Amino acid sequence: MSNTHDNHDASGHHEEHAHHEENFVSKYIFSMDHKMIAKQFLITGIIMGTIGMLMSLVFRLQLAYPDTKFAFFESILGHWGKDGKLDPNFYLALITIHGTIMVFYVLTAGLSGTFSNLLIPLQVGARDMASPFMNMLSYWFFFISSIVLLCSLFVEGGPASAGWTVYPPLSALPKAIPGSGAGMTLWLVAMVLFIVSALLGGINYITTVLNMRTKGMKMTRMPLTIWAFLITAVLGLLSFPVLLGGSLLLVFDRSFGTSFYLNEIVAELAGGIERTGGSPVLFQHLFWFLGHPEVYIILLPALGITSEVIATNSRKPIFGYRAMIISILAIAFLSFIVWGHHMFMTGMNPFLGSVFMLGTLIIAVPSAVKTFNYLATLWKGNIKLTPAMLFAIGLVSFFISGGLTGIYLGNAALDINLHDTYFVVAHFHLVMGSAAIFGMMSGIYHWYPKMFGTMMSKSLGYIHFWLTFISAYCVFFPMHFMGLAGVPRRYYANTAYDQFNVFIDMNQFITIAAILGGIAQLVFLFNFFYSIRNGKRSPKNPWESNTLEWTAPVEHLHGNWPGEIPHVYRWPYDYSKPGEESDFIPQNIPDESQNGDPMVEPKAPAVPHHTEAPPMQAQVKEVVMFAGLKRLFGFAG
Amino acid sequence: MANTTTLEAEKKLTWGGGKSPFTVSYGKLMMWIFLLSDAFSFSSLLVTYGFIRFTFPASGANEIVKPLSHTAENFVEAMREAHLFSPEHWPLPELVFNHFPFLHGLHLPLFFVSLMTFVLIFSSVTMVLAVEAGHRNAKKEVAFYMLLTIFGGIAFLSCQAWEWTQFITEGASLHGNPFGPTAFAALFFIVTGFHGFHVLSGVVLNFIIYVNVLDGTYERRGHYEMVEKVGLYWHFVDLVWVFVFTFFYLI
Amino acid sequence: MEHTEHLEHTESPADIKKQIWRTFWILSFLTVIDIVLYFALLSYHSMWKNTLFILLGVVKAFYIVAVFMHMKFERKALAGIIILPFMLVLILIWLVLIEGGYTFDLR
Ligand code: HEM
Ligand SMILES: [Cu+2]
Repeated sequence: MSNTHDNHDASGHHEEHAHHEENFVSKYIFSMDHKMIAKQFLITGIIMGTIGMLMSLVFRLQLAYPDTKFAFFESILGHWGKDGKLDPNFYLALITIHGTIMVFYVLTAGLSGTFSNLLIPLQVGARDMASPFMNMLSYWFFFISSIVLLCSLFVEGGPASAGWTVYPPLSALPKAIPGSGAGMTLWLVAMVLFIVSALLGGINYITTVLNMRTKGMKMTRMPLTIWAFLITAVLGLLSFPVLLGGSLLLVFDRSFGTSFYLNEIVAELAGGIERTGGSPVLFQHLFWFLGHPEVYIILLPALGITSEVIATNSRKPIFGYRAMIISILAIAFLSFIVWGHHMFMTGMNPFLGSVFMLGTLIIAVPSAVKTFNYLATLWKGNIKLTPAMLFAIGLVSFFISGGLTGIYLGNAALDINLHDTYFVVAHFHLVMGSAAIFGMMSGIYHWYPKMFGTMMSKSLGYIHFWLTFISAYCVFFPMHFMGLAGVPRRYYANTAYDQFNVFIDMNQFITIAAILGGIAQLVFLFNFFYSIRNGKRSPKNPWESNTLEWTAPVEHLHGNWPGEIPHVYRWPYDYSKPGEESDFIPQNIPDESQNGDPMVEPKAPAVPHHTEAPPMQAQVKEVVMFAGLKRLFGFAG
Repeated sequence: MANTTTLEAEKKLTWGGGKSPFTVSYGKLMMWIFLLSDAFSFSSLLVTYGFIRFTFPASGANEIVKPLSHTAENFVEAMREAHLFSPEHWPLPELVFNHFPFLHGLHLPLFFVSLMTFVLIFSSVTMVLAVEAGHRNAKKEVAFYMLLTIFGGIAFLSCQAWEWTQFITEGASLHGNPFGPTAFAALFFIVTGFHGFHVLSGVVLNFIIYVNVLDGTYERRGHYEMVEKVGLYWHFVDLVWVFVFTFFYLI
Repeated sequence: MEHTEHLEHTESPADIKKQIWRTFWILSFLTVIDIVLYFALLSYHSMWKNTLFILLGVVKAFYIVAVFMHMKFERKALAGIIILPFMLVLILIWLVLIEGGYTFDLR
């Protein structure tokens, strides 16, 4: 009985062979193969991302040119864009749906759904997910949820408009604003479906990582991607149910006359029933108990991907492998006890403010550990600037510039000034939006050959990177200054206030940069879809990487490996190991000292890493860097 | 000394891949993980209960009605007059849940809910007995105990239905109740409702498994692990009830 | 120590049954204690009484998880990954209850 897992991969493999004549539906639609499901998640995510981005361009145009009439608004938005003017209520709806799509649909399902599905079985050495069927369900719940959310764009009153955080009372009283009606209901339905999808996926990811690793794949030999996906899944599993509970109560407040989140609301607004005895702050607690872990659900997979890409393309072992794992764990734990930093200004108990502030500032420590480990990995590396590598380095850059402002915002006293201003918008777009999108892009460029068997165009990749990188900084960096000057977020037209008129130029600059960024994504979309059929065929291990997925054949097989699953003999970061001929040693290559036993650790190299003469390229860089540093500190000769 | 080294070697093997570190099958692990996350959904509801409860003062002590004493027709009215029921403070559960089927007019606080608790604990026992029989591949016994468990579940649900009816006829609803703050009744309905929904799903699952047992599905498969998995779920439902009972009826 | 792997097989069915029934009696007994205490302490109103009831609930939960759900016989690591996360719930309860008390003070 307790041996069933042992038989699983063997028997699973036989089953696959039993019905190998597949039709279109079972291969592309109701597929139970993790690689296909990953692609489904990715493509749905890309579509949702495009929609979310187009929305942002619409409201960016409004912010930059509040008095101009855009004739095409009327043609694409109908009565929401009458006479070329964006309807103020629809503005709120757009930012709400934009935020929801980006946070949940693109960067949670699109990112974790894609890469957890693709990489977990391949990198831990399993035939498929523990339960392929649940995996399929997970995708289809996500798909239906996306459809429901998109449908809400077309209902009476427009989609939900209470912000992606759907705070009551706006979300709890159907009559509050136009979007509080049917749109809000559909938002909640979509969210419940989304949570179901996330839980189905998460249970699968965790079980697969814990139970189905191939022989020799110790926890401390797992690639950091897998660690990141595992912890991400744990975060989702523990935090999404709380939002589920919270939304359930919200549904009752909306439709059945309860008042969990409502206090002293007059009856006419509230469906004829006097609402009293609840508290909107309660909802915020429940929401942010999910909401904060959610930002790490977004970020951790991106960080995991970055670890892998940076190590591979620096041809160096990741610096501080164990420190990386410990900081992932620390971030995961801390992320559950800091949710209140979103609520400093909402009338929360000030004592709690100090508790949450403490936790928030402590999170800076593991985050900094990760950052410095990336930098140390790059240091003196034999760097290969593939598009994936550029995006990974871009992530590190955004993580730093966005993360630093997090330290400001984490201080309750400073947050009095900064809360709900564009400073916050700048902060989270850099650290969560841009960083995670860059991580996702990095992953796409890196594992595209694994997904489609072809290579994406490198030159288009470079264009995509530089345009996106520059435009992202141009869009989000100036927002800090607006925020410091007090420009509030979620406002339809800042020109309504004289003191913000000075920012009209800046707003136009931002919008133009955003349009540039949008164009850059066209390059990506073309590259992505064109290369599926027309890209160069990929070799088996295009990046000369160590992890197991590159030992599987390029053609996708059910069960991933044609013969036996490879055993694992070493950690995944044996790059440029001193005393070895090849500059990479895949995980499935045994060391002589192991005598074929995967459980034994391979012999450490006789010479430590640093005494190796660094490759030419790096040496030059080192000289340049030291010269620069010396000048910086003023003791140049 | 030799012992510790073998232990260490075994520990390496435990997490070394190629097998489950917990020596449980993936299906059982999944069930555990699901229950963990489900526990968090219940926690969120109970936390809400705690929060709202904390925003209301507690009731004064009940000095008037003794257990087993007779209650008047206008019991609720009388309690309101005595200021034991008021929208200003949380009511005492013993004054609210004091009915027992067929024993009308008696103050029998907590008796009925204790009965429900026993029913649920008992159905948990029959469930483990089914699991135990499954280990011995004793098909008949598994089927018998599963059937008992299903009956237990149905009995519990019927009790709950009766209690809800009683509560509603006394005037409780999602947005009002004669006993105290409106949130009191709303929370009662939602939390016990959510729990009842779990029990109902459990009964359905148990029924499916029961049919499969009779069908010989697991006999052919050679093990009754499926029974264990729904068993875990069923005990979890019991576990949640322990806390629902504590929070709604005792404190 | 060598029993950690498959403890379940070392016990005879009769033993297991005995244990199940013992647990049943313990749980029933605890429930009765609950009710007795409830009436014995009717006139008290304080946190320690609530804490007492919650503790009794936790003891019951322990027996259900350990024996009925078989956790006692599983690997410690499994128990760890299932039980440790509840620390987070405790934190949630702690902080939200503080907030509830504060809301009470404000009203
Ligand atoms: C395509 C480039 C993007 C642009 C130009 C953009 C622009 C904006 C702007 C200007 C706002 C604030 C509107 C206001 O407060 O009035 C906003 C809100 C928001 N954006 Fe973006 N954004 C972009 C991408 C992203 C990404 C990748 C994420 C993923 C995390 C994201 C998440 C959000 C969220 C959560 C909000 C808050 C919505 C709310 O207030 O409820 N955005 N975006
Ligand atoms: Cu946060």
